[in-house]
Amino acid sequence: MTQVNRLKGGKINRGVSCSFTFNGKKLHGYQGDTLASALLANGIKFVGRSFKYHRPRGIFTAGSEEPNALVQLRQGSANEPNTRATMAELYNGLSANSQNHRGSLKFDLMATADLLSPFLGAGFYYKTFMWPRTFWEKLYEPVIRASAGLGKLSGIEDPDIYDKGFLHCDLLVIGAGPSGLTAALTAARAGAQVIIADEDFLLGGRLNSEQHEIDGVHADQWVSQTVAALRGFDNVRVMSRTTVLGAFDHGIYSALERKTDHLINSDGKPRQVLWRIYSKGAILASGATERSIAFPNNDRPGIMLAGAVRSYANRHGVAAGNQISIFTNNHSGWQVVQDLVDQGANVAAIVDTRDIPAPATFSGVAILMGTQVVNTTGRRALRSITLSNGQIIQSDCLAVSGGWSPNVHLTCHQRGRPEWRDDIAAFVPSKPLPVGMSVVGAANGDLTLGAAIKSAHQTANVVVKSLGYKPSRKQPPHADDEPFAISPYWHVAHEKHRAWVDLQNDVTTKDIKQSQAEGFGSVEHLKRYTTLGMATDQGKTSNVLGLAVMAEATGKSILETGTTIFRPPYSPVAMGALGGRARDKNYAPTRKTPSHQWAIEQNAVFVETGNWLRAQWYPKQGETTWRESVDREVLATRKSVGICDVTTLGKIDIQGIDAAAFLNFVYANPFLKVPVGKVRYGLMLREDGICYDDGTTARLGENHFVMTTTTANAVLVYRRLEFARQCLCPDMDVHLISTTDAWAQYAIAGPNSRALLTKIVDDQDLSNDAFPFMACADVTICGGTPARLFRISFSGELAYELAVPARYGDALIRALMTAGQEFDVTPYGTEALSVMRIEKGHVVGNEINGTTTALNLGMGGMVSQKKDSIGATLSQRNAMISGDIVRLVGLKPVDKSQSLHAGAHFVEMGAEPSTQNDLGWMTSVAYSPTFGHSIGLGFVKNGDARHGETIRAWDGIRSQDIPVKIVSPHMYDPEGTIQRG
Amino acid sequence: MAKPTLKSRSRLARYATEINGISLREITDISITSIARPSHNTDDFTKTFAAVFGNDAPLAPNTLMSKTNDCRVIQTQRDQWFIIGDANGIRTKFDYTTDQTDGWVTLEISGENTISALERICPINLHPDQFQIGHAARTAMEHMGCIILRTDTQTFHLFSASSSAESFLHAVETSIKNVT
Repeated sequence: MTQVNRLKGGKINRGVSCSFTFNGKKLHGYQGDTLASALLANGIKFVGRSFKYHRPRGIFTAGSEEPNALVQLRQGSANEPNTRATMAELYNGLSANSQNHRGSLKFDLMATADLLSPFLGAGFYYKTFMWPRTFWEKLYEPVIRASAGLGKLSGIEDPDIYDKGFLHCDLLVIGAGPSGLTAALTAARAGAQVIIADEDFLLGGRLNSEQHEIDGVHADQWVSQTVAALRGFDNVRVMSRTTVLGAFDHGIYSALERKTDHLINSDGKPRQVLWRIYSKGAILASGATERSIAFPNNDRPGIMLAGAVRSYANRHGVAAGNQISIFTNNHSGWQVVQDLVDQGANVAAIVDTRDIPAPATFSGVAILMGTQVVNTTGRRALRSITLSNGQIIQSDCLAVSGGWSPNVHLTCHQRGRPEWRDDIAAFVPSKPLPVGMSVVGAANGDLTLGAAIKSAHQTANVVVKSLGYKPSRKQPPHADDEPFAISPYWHVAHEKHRAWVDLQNDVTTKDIKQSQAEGFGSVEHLKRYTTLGMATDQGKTSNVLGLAVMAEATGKSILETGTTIFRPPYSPVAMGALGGRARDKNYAPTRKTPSHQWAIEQNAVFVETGNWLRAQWYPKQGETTWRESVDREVLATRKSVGICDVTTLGKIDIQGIDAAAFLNFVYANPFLKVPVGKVRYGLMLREDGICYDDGTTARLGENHFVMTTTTANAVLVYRRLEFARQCLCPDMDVHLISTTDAWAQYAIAGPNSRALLTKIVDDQDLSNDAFPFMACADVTICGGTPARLFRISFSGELAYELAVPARYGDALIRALMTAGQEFDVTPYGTEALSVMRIEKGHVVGNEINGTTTALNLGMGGMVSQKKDSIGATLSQRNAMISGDIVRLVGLKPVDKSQSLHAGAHFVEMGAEPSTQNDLGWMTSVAYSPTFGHSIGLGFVKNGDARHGETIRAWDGIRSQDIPVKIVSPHMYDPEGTIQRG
Repeated sequence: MAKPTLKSRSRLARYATEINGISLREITDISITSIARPSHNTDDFTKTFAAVFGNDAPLAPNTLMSKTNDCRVIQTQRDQWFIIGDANGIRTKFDYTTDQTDGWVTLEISGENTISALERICPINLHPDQFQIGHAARTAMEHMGCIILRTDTQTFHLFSASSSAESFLHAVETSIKNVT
């Protein structure tokens, strides 16, 4: 087939031929074609099957509003379903396949659904699949899922890459038709920073599809000159292939730029870029979308919107048929005839619903006024139309125009509601618009060219003036107003045949009436009950028609009937574009400690802790399980000395003459009198008295503290301190800055930790008298490197934490390991750290979990009532301090061979596991190599008074029921003599 | 036995590359010190600042080069500034200082298409009329906190957390590759 329907002219590049395939058949088109125009040029009208009834469907529009011509574009992993053929730019090598059929496109087994259509009307699912209940999961749902949907995903990872970005402008012009180009040029001349974006690859909007003169030259020439002028401005960014998707607060718009969709491959560059555009003002020049008229069997391939037929003829040089008829209720249908005749297409008839004198005559074209199309024939393509006067006209293409609906979508993204204008039978934007937005041209109801250009020029001048620019004195381009008049005509009533309103969702006029009859009369209910206006086209061609039919059924006006809510995105967006480059390991930043490279050299196994990678354990040769490594690390540390990287703990530098008072306010326990050179454990409460976080804070100077936080809560605590500083304590002289990343910090724990540090630290006397438990100091190490030393212990051992500027972190861990060889120093990871803290009874996020109080944790006495601090008052509420309060306890299995599990609930011996009998829950467990059996921490009602008693740890998930003995949470060195030694 | 000497190691090992006309390198020879204005003693701070830098403390996005041209002052939040460069001898003149050198990784990006690359990750308007040479701003790029400083028409310094330096480098490099 050799482009049998190709006409003369058009804005295609006939010098560049593009070979492509559709359903495996090799075809040809030209650069500048869309897949749809190329298919039509090749005489292919039947391109897909409908969603519900699997009826043959053809190309209906020439733009992003296309409901029918959805295809699977490209092959293999690059296959993209539900791609609108009208938006797919033709390129050499393009491959497309039709979708939504079982078997071939011509012989779709699912087409039998159409025979069952009397039973498949609106609400069918809801009424039919109610019983028997057991059939739902086993039969109904699988069958429905297998039958429903349109295209199919490849199931293979998308090979393309995507990106996002940020743009800024004074003025965003949305749409590059005559209004948009005029507005952009006007603003550009005034000096404003302008972005003009259009979803099409060819700028010009309707001017590409119609024949007009502007400023005395053909509109094509005017478009070329204007676009060239815009590209010549430094202050203008012209973005074709860019759809503005949504209007958000503060003048922010989202837009999708299709960078390489028109190329056979992306050459390693992002296929699409999702932009966030910050604008001071926006001019919406999004034009208008034509709508159809519902008449019996109006869904056959070859029945198209009239503007699309005009566009294919003028822009692509394609006749949509060999015998074209027009069915219209307005003047634009007549302009289509004129252009088709001019292009040499064969027009059979024009059928106008209006009983008025014919606006024009055309040689050889039958003119039928006050007439309707009442039926059509043609199984896989239109063959003939039947008129209300009984006449049958042979036509393979019917161009339908039911009027034009301004594209108000973006004006409604912040809950705006459009208003109805009788004179153009359409909804237009109404105030309030999104802040900073103005609407011009057809989008604002100015459906004629001269008026559209004039309004765009005037509005742009007003907008640039409001932005502080001096409007240009240049006069607006001149264009005549083509005649436009419409008499609303929505649907041709017929008892027998179906008349489609929403082609994509197979919604007919009967469905809408049925929805109303069954009580779903509001537009929002109508949408959900019938699916009108859903899916990829979001009802761009069907919504107003559907509302009109509903209005007629309810006896209300269209204004009273209203519209559904418009939400972003304006057009469908690939999930890949929303994800952008944030995929796989780049989904979130990765934080590494300065010892990371060294840890890799030690074969460390890492765990993600928030964004951090932390060494979990360091396996040694011969160790076959993680437990072997962890047990070894614990025992080695308790026996001699171990080193753990604790860089990830949050570190906050706090300075100011009120720093102590500030800490005294944010911590529940006193901090006012912490001596310089001392560290204190601090417990932070929420305002409601629940524990928030804990950590140690060191006083390095009279007005200088360093707070440590848990790794997970580092950012949250910092944010909380900032809130307290700025809002709760604005009069305090206190200053915060994070130093988490600035320091590499290591815990050195075990009986030989002091001996090891003596080999590293320069001059500090580390004896217990000179540097006792909870001491801190600025020191130097290794001959002068500045460092901070803290004598604190999470493991319960004699322990220190040594911090150096991060750039020395790698060298320090190597130096410590070398110096510690004589003590068999052992690096230990977070698992060993956790084991030792459970043995010691130190709490972490498992225990400070957002539901527990200081009293629950056994730290009720720390909450000072002698001062004001966040959460202190509400922590003393009756319900939190009286009754059967759960208390932190240690748990040991009676049968030492049994393993405990976190999450188990406690019940009395012999009691039924039930909510009523619940005594508490296990929060943390570990195998303790120190004790030689499993141990746990948990909360038990009145647990502090029940040490020595036996209860059961019942775990319904793991089917375990283990007798456990309640013990002190401080199972290792309960008196603390070791860590103080 | 003599104590070992610790050698410093930069986060990105002084990484430097050029991708299609855009150069990208880690800057390691600078220190970063934060200073805070005491709320109880703003006058003294103002005098000291003027004496040291010869001007008032800059308000963002403006920055200030020191009289000796060896360090730049950037406002990072209310009552807080970063002294970037050689701050020796300056720290002791202020009450509240914190060494931030190791908390940050610094990248310099330079070249004709630099702004196109930065558009992909930087929410700040980098138009030369809006964000001039010597301007700086705090922002976030790819979820990472960042300070961006324009040192020349097509040259920027980007400061981000040192722990996520590799992710930050990857983000910037990806942006360059995606536009060149």
